[in-house]
Amino acid sequence: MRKFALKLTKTFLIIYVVLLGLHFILDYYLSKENSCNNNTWHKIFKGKLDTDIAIIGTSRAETHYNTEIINKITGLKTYNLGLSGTPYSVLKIRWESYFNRNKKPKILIIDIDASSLENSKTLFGKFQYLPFIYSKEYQAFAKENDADFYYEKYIPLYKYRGYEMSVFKQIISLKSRSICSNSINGYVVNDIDWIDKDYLNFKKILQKDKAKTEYDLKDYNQGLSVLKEIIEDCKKNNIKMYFVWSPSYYESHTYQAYNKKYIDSVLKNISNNEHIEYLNFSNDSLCYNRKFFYNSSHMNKRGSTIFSEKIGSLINEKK
Amino acid sequence: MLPQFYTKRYFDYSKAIDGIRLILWGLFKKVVIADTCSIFVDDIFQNYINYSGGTLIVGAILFSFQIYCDFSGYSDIAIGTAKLFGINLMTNFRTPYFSRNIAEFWRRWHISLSTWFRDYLYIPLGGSKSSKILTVRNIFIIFIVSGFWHGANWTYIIWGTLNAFYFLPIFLMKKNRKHLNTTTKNKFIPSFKELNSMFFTFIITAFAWIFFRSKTVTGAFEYIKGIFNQNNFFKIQTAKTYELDIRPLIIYLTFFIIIDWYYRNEEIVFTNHNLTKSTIIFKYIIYLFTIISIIFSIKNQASNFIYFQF
Repeated sequence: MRKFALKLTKTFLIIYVVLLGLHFILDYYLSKENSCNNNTWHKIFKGKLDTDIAIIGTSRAETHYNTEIINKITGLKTYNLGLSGTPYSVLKIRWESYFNRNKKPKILIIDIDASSLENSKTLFGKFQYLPFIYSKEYQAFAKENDADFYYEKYIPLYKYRGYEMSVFKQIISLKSRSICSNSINGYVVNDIDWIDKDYLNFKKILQKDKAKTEYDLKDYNQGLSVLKEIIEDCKKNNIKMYFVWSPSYYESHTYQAYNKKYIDSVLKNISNNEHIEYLNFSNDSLCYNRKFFYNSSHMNKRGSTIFSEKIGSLINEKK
Repeated sequence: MLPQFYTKRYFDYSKAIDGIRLILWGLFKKVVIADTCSIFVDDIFQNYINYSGGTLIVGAILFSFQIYCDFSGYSDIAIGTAKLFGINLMTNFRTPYFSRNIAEFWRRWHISLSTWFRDYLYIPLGGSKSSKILTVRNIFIIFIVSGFWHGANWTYIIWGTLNAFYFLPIFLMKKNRKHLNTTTKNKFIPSFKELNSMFFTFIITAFAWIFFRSKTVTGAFEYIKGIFNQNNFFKIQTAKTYELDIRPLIIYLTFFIIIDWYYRNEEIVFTNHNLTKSTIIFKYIIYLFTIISIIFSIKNQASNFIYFQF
């Protein structure tokens, strides 16, 4: 029995050490600057982000603000911190890790709309966070919201379960960046058109929404509390803020219109009380032309170029 | 098994080590192969109308691995755990997918149930000692009852009957006792003839599993009809392949087949008789790969063993 227990312990320890080694090797390579999409996370966590204008928001921010154009017009270094599929309640990780570790920006553009403030605790694209799970910002969020957090923290390699191909692709991307999406200082370029098939699907969704007789006002308290935190941080550090409701395709405006109206009024209130400029592009001329979009809520390269020129000029005017 | 409870048992080191090996391999089969296959299989069998013939073939093959790894994994974990307490349980699966004909398959698949049916049904009915007609009747009875044992559904009855039809020609040609030894003994690479017969046995078994897996007989026939649909036959894609990459599963399946084949002559997987430095290192690499695969394949939602329902 003793011999068996010893053998079992010895084997377990050897395997645990090897797994731990592999775990840290993976963490090291996946958090490198030149691996796909981790470029921004790497800069954030290493404190390498030095920008005058920072833009924060969801995928709409990520795809709408062309950093190159804004930089050219304003002469200010611009970085887009927008994160796909991530409402403000989860963007907390991105904001705090950026704010705590990097040089503070002069201007913060807060891209905002009703869906970005909805309550959610789901980590979309969790894989991108995995090399950084030991950071205090991630832990603060995950301890409360992710039932697997402690297993992922202490069982070597467990956090990478189900991500075999993502790990493989990221490692490959260290050598060849051809598999990475095209991005410039966090701005993700989508040089594509809205295909008819997807447009028809969108129309179907709209019709279903119109057929609804009752509208539910979703919960926004988590998103609004993160927004308050951002405002407080900026006020303490004299960072000029802009709320921007960037364009969405006009036919989508009727979708969950009640919620949009409510959030618009909330933002107007905050902007009045906190003296924050609120730039509402939700009814801009861009909204009325399909060729500027690749889906109902995201502009393509064509649309984002014009929009970024407008934003750059407005910032110049208000300097 | 029962007499073992009445005799005094002592802790047996080598038995306990065998138990741990079986538990590890059982976990690999269940967590890595069966549970991952089930994600694709469930989707393909539920939405077979939308998928190409090639995808439906992949669905049937994956289900063959799912049911084998689910049930034999469950058996390995049970046998391994019993070994830790010094109790020997009978082997339930002996690499059945390397069988060279259906009779050999049934000697290697769910051995505990097959022997029970043989001892308590087939032999009392007269077995093969009576006339040819009666023996044929007995064969049909045993296979149909075996199907019925899985549940009161025509799909199981057809699955059993189909296996009886597979078995019958082999029995009539007196080839049912032909392959009593292990496949390709003392060689690693099988001959073309052996490979051919193993492949054929696997294909007909996988075909029968379609009935076993389908919810209704009509559903099973429609699934089979879908296989012969030539439209986009080679477009092997499911809704799940968008969410989940199938390539890691292919790597795990390849690893599983190699290990299952390599240790086909052994009662206990990972047993090596010639312990040299290189074989020990090789064995530890295999252990490591097995453990990493298990860690990588743990799903957030636990899934039951298929045979819990029977």
